[in-house]
Amino acid sequence: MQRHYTTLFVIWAIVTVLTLGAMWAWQPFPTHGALEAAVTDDAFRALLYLGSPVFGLVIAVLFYALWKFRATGPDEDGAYIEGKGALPRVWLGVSAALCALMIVWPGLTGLAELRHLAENPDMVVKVSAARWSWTVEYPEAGVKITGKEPMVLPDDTRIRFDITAVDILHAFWVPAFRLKVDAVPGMTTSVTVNAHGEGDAETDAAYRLQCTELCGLQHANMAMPVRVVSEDEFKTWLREKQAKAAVR
Amino acid sequence: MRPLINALVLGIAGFAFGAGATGLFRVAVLGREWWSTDLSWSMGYPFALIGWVMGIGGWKYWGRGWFGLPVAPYETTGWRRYLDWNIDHKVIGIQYIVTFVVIFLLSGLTVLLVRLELMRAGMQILTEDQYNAAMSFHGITMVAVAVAILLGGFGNYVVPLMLGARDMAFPNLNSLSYWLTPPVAVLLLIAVAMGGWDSGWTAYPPLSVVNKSGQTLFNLAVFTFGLVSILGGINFIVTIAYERAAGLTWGRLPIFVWGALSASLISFFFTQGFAAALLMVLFDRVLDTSFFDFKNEGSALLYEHVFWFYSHPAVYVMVLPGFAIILEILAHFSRKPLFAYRWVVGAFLGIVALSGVVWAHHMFTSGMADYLHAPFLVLTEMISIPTGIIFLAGLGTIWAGKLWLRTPMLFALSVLFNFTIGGITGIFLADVPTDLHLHDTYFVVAHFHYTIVGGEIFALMAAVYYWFPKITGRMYNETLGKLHFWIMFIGFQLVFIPMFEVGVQGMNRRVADYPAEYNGLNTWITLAALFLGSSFVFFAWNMAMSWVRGPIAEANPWHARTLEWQTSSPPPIHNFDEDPVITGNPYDYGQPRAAAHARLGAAPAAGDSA
Amino acid sequence: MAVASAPAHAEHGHGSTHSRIPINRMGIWLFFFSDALLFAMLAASRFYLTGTERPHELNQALGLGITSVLLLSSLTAYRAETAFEHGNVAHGRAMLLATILMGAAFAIGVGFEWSIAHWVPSDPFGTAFFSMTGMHALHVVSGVLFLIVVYVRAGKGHFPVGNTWAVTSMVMYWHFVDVVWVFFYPTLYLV
Repeated sequence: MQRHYTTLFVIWAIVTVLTLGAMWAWQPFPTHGALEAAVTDDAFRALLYLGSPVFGLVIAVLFYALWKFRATGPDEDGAYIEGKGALPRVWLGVSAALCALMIVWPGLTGLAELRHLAENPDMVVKVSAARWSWTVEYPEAGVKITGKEPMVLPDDTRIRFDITAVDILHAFWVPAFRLKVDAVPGMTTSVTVNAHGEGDAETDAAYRLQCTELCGLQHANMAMPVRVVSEDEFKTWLREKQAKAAVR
Repeated sequence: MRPLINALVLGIAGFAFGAGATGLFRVAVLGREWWSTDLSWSMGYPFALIGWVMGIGGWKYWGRGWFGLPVAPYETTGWRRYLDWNIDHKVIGIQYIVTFVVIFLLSGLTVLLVRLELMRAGMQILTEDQYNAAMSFHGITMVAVAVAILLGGFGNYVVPLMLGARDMAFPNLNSLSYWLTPPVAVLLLIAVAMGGWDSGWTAYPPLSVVNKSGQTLFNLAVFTFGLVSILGGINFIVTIAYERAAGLTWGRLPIFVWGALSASLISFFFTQGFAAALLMVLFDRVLDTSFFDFKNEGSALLYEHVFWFYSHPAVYVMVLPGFAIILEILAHFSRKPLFAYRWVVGAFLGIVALSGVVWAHHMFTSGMADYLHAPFLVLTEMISIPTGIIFLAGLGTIWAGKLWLRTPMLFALSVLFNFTIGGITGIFLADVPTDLHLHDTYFVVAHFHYTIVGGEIFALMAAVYYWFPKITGRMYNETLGKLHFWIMFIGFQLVFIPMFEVGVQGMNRRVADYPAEYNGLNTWITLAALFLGSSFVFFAWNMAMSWVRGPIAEANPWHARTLEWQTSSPPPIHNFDEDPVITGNPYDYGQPRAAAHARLGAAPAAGDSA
Repeated sequence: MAVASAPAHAEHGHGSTHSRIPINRMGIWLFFFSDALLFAMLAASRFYLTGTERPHELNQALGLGITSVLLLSSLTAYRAETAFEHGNVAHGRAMLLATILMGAAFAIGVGFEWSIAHWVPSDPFGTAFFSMTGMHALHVVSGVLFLIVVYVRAGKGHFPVGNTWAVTSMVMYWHFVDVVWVFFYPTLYLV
């Protein structure tokens, strides 16, 4: 048996290292467009790394059993192992510890970090969802945009979106910002984002305000382009908008 | 065919009565026109359902007894009993299995349409409306299959055999449960013919209150299905409590019985939540109440709470019998005792308990109060602990065994692989920081397919091949079985691994269209889905041909110790020629001195190789 | 209900070799438990939607009246059950009839209350009121129908001593419907 366990351990180590390497190399994330993205992506990576040895263990046992413990019929019995000894207890202890670790980090710590990032926003943007378009309002400037016009936001700014819906459930999600919250009729929900880095929907699908709560016919197309620009550029844009509104 | 025709005629008559009386009331009392799609269906359908059940035999074989009238005797032989009211649990099991395999294949074809539409950005073969209808139909029918096929199908067929019982505790109720399912399928198909409904299988209001009338039919159908689930759950619990053979103590129950019991506990305890949620939507639609109408202080969040209170536990109704089946198969095909049997039982019951307190992890982005995030994160991640015990049992059982790699064993082993990925990715969705990004993306789609398909449907296939000789009395074709397995297993990975990536990249779910950036992966997924779909051709061919002309199977082709293999294949009408007596544990392989699991009458049990 | 009325003789020896009564009892209790959760969901949503508000126009006298009638009917139902168990069919039937009449009176009371209600289903309170009383009344009416069947069959001598499960199960169902109202009445009228 000792020989079996040694080989198993080696296989487990190899599979785990390979998995860790693959997870390290894997880059599925959309553009990193807000400070929040660091929190969610780090949490994502942390879970990948924590999951790798678990995955490695299952693969190692499966692989080893298929390799060494084969039979061609039901004639011979395996070893009489009931599993009543220390192993289940150890397993329970280890898995509970691993679970506790994941709950605290990256779970609760990430949650606390996101809460912290949401304190004292620099500006508030009002978002209203209707079937099947978004309306975005900058209350301080008195500017309102809708339809397929881009929502322009200033870089390096802490922005709180106050979100509601006029008819049914929708959801606010800009993949580059990561965070997501439902637009609920009769209720205002909010999400705070620290925009970080410029970006434009023209070249990057991660910069789109996409409805992510099934809302019927045109749900898939309920998206508004998003553009993150420098603060100066944002002010210019806002002034132009105000001027246009005044002419009208 | 006669019962079916009777049922159809009485069903239509019932509908005409209900809808007609409602129409009369509307014309005479309210002065409105007689037909209102939502209301007329809601009032016609309950009577149609009663008519259907009476017509199929509920009156002839059962209902008459309620009024002290003599009831007709059941058919005991011939294929006609499958199209009739029959109380034999083996007949009912086959009815469930065949019905839901057909629905499974139909729903699988539907999703190929969905995948073809998603092959490239832009709209190609479907309109947005058709896409939503197809996607919603796929969703609810597959949920129904997943809930019913293991428990309703294999649970019904196998559990009484494993218990050494003659039948379920409430045979007529069992038949009623089954015969309530065809109306569910018919109603969903009519809903699609009427233009479908566009709210997915979750049917969130306010959308589901204001959308097309297909939604009403959906609600009625799924409400009925909830009834099936509850009645079935009650039947299993009572059967397992009271119908165990002499000597079959709780500690000697085969693990599949424990899985069926755990799933039944959930379905009987929680299904009412779904029923209540659907009922409230229906009230809002036809009676003008305002549960979810925000203009009248209604709340959309109320639905989500009530709905997920059932619908999260429901995934364990799907997957616990799946786990139990694979543990069963792993033990028999490794010729080893089930590792840490008592711990597994504890894990099952632990999951039952925990399942009821984790629902709001579906609602981290719903706008519910922030203080709920942390507790639901903690509780949800705790489910990984009992799930880990089940993995320990699976891995411990194959370790140092004598693995006999027949088709059922391959499927059972693949569940361990698939569910590892499904389980680990579940943690990403229980963890609030990652879930805020991943919620409602293709990451979620990939995750739940890895758990439900990878965990349950692969287990279902294991069960189909494992019990095929017992149920049909014939052997399936091993080559076709293995071909099915390898295509399905590889195709499955090729479809769903890329879905994780496209989801993280920013593709949200339930969309008919998406930005062109995601073209590459989507094209790949669609091609892989066609490959995956092709595996079921081998499955269907193998099943149909082997059932008709496969070689005659022995009573116990796997030399397994459990009770269902100690009787003939297929078993006689009352299951055992002599009442079985349980004398030992079900999985004592490798222990020459162990007592046989069961003896039939005085004769030593056949196939007792231990 | 289905569980309740499954008459033992209809099983044709196909089912259990064990005594039917404890099995039936467990089945019906599980059914009650399950059904109770549906009512619990409705009661919970009443508080979720409107808190503890209720309109002043609620007819308290009527509410108390129908509640008393229903509670009293549970007593007669119990008397009926005991009477059948002791073979006193005449008394049992009389008590059943009283239960049926009081059940019907309750249903009529609810109907009357609906007709004089100051609220409509689209009000928040109306939503809770009509769905809760409606769902409960549906159970009362079905219970009355079942009791009528039992009453008629009892008249034909179908329930001799030792074969009274049909009566017992219906009386259990009646108690269950009654207990639900014990929770619904304060939820709607008193909080």
